[in-house]
Amino acid sequence: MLRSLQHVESHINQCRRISTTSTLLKNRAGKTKSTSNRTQLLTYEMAQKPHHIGVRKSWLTWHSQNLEEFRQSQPLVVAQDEVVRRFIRGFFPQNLVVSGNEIVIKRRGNVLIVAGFLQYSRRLDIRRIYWMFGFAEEFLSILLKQPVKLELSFVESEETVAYNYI
Amino acid sequence: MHRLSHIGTRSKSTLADKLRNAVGGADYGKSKQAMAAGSLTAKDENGEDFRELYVMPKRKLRGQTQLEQATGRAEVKTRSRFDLMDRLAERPPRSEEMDPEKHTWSDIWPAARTFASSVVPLPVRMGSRPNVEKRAPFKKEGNLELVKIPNFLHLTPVAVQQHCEAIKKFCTPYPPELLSDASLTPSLLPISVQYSTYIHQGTNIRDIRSRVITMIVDVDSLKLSENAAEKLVRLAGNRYNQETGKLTIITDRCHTRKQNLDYAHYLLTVLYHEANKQEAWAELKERSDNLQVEFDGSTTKSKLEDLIEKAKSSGLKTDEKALAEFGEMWKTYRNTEETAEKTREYGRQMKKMLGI
Repeated sequence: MLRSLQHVESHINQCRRISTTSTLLKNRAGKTKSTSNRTQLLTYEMAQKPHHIGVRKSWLTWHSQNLEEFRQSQPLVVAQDEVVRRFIRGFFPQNLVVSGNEIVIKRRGNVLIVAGFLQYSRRLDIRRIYWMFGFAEEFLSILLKQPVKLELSFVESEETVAYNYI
Repeated sequence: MHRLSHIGTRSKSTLADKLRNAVGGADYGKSKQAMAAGSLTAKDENGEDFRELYVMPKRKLRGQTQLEQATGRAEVKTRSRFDLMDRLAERPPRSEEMDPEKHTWSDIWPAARTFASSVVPLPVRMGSRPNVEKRAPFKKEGNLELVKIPNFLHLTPVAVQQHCEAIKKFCTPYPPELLSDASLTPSLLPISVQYSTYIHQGTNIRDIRSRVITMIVDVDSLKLSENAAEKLVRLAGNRYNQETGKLTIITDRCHTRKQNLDYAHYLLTVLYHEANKQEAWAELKERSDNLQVEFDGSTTKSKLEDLIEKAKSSGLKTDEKALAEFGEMWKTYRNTEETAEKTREYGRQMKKMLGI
């Protein structure tokens, strides 16, 4: 009798479970943890919850591949977006504003345009930045096989884009 | 002999001595020692003592700096920022340097561009606030919402005017005959061909919908006889619009647009020639085969004629010429959509005809 119960328990551990307790049945999307001394910076983008998309905040990528006629090319565009975001995040490590959330990707015809904000609070080196822009444009153009233009603009520091501190 | 060998072994006891002797005997290193010890023993080639020259460096020596740091009297030299030159090169935003007299906006913003807050001189604000009265929405510097939305700053009316002026030389003038009288269009330009070209965001340039051709033909301009026109209408089916008198042919049967266009022309040609052919069995047509209900030969007409006769004999003032008019009205009433106005017209005509 006990031996058969042991087998049952091992079977239960092998299958996947979902949590339905009331303490875990929460919506955690878009919520940042607040700090005790209010040092966590929130941009306007981060402060709005996901259900405000289209109401209070706009989209970070703009493409037409969500329409019915363009369903086949939708995953390609999503992958392109992800590649661009990761590249920008890795290539301008010191210059990102809040871990690269402030990047907007637009498309005009064949051209992919990356816009948004970078900061230069720690080190301002104009020639280096120009070189990096050129390299990034060239690299992304070759990678994605379409012209890529960077229209990123610089802010002094992260405080310029701060909405509030929690 | 015994004593000499005993002394010999004792005098070469240390390893260093043994090595020294192995290199150059007892006087190895003596001249160096002499120079280090002082100038007492080392002489130059003339037999004179060396005069020492000591070069003093122009900096504080290591011992001195250490002393100063230890006592706290060290002068801390502040180094300038490594990016000082770049920070000095910062200029005020471009919007402040713009002068409407010297610059035109279409030169500054010629093409579509994401919003750059330093270039646009307008004090734009964007952002949602819980209480708009108390605190205004966010200013344009560092505002991502303004960057996200598409802007049309490159399409000011002046810029559009300039574009039109530049394109004008490639355009042909509008036909003056149509300018004066727009209703001549069906007769002067009886066939209109419509097709679409699709532009994609991305590296794709093909769209399968661009092969579709819509050809709209004005049937009256074909100058067909009455029988031929009716035959054409029957052949065309629901492609013929009775109210406008236009025949619409939509083809997407072939792979390319050109092929579809040729096919549409071919269909039109076939329809025209088939409509003009008279078949022998066409003469077997009866009244019930007509496309529209005709007044002549209908039972309504015969009944009305009887009714008019009876009304005349009973003494009502009837109007016989109104019968033809009634026939026209009745035909339109039967063959077109029924409206309240048409029904009222029917009643009026009936009363007028019977003299009520």
